[in-house]
Amino acid sequence: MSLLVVEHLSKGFGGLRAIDDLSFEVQPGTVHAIIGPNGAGKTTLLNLMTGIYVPDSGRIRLAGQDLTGQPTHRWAAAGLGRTFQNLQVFFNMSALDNVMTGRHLHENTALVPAIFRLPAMRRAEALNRAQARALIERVGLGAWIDAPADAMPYGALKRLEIARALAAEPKLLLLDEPAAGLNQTEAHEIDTLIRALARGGMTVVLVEHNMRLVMEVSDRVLVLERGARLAEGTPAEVAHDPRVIEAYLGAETVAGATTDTAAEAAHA
Amino acid sequence: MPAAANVSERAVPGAAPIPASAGWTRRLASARTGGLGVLALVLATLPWVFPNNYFFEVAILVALNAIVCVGLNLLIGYAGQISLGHAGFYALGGYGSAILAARGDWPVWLSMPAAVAAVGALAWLVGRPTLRLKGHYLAMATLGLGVIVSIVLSNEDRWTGGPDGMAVPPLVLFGRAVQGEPLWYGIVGVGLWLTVWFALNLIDSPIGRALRALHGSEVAAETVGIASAQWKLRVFVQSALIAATAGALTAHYAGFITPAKASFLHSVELVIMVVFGGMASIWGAVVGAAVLTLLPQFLTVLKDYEMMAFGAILIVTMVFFPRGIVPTLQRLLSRSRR
Repeated sequence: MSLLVVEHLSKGFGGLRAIDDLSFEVQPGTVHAIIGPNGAGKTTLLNLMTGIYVPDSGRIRLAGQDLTGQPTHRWAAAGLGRTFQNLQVFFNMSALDNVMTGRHLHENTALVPAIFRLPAMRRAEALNRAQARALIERVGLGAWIDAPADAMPYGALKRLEIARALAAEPKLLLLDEPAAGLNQTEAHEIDTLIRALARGGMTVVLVEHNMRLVMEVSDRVLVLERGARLAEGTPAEVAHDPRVIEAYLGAETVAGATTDTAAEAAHA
Repeated sequence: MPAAANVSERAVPGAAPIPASAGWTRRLASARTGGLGVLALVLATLPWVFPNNYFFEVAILVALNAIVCVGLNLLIGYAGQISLGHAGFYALGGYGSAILAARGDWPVWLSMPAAVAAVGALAWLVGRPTLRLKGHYLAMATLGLGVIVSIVLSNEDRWTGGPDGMAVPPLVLFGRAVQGEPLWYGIVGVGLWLTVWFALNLIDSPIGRALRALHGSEVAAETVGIASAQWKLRVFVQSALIAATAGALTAHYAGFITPAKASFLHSVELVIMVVFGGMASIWGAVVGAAVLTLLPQFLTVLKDYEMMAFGAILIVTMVFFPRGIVPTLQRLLSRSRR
């Protein structure tokens, strides 16, 4: 059974159809990339998939649960974790607290144990702290555990967001341009991290401009253009699809286009 | 210092120094227990140096304002919402308990919690629709509510005694009336200490992280499952309950209450205390309440120029302590330590 099912999804802004009758499915345990030229509707799709926008029509189901039009925290409760293209870190906290906050849904938030600091709560806090530390180590930020988030460099914050999302133990992890703004080395580290997650059985939806990253880590690629599906398939299939090459490079160069040139053009 | 060993293992060269993990938590814990110890010590010592009852009166006023501000700061500093009607909740707590006790012959130990609970219900009714909206609708709604409360308290003189106020029956516990400044100082002092302790515990718990997350990034808070509207409503109702409790205590301590307690100006004063002392800082709320309650007592010598001096002090403080007194001092202190 598909983990994520998107059916006939549409969303317009005024006269513009940002997402136009889009349907696709994500299988559990796969890395599913969503690519497309600027303005193709990737960000709109993401906002629809996290409850920030309400679709005009169509529905989205996660693990069999219809979440269309639900507020964001319900999507989180249903098992959706996400990171942001433009960082949304809790800059008023340490790295550790950021990741511990990620476990909100698994925590006891009753008032009485909290204000009296009951022993059960202290034990739960200690456990949460240990798990958060392990996660921070796992994304390679061991040296930053107790650093205030506003003292951390950009690349580290990108990975901190991933750790925070993982802390919630999501069924589906949505990564919005995790490599954007990173240099080669940092992008490679993200690449390694996503592969490790995929090997561990995590289902990932990856929205990314960095074609090299997409081609390396994805099981399936969905190509959007003007809010609709242009092509879908394995990275190799998509890279050789004439429609995709045309969308990225223009019609004249179709004949000589290879995976690499398409990738470079998209990355540019 | 053994913690120094941890600092050296840094992955990114040239990056900001990272506080050692054990040292950091220990310092946090010590600031917490240390602060609570100092507060207990100050509260316990003051009665021995107070020359007369007037000092007790001022100290009680400081403590009551501090209690309200700690609650209000949870709302302003953490949930990021402003209430301009907390004086209304404060006055309703006092009037509610006073009216139940004086006109309804309720025992005060019952009228106080009943009035506080009713204020909580009112806050819930106002907060529920407004906090679902993004933006500062709560400030507008509470502003309106505060004005309405103030007008009703002045005009319904059959119940409230009108603009002149009403006499409030004393709190009777174990067959004896609770009276006298030193005794009330003890009650309010213990109340303040407990409020600070509860608030510090709360902020250092999953609830506190959820509130700090709302403050840091509401979008991100929602994506980790924090129901922002629900949490804001919880904090708003809790802060109203605290204000109402302080109001009820004030009424039964003073034996008298007037609609001035509900004035819009009093609501603004409470917000200023929070911002002055430092938003998102429990100790900031205490310091802000203390300084701004005591300041007018000292400035009375200036007579006509009192308000001018008060304003000037506020402006100068906010220029040099833009985050509020406590957070700015903390920042300076931690910087000088590095």
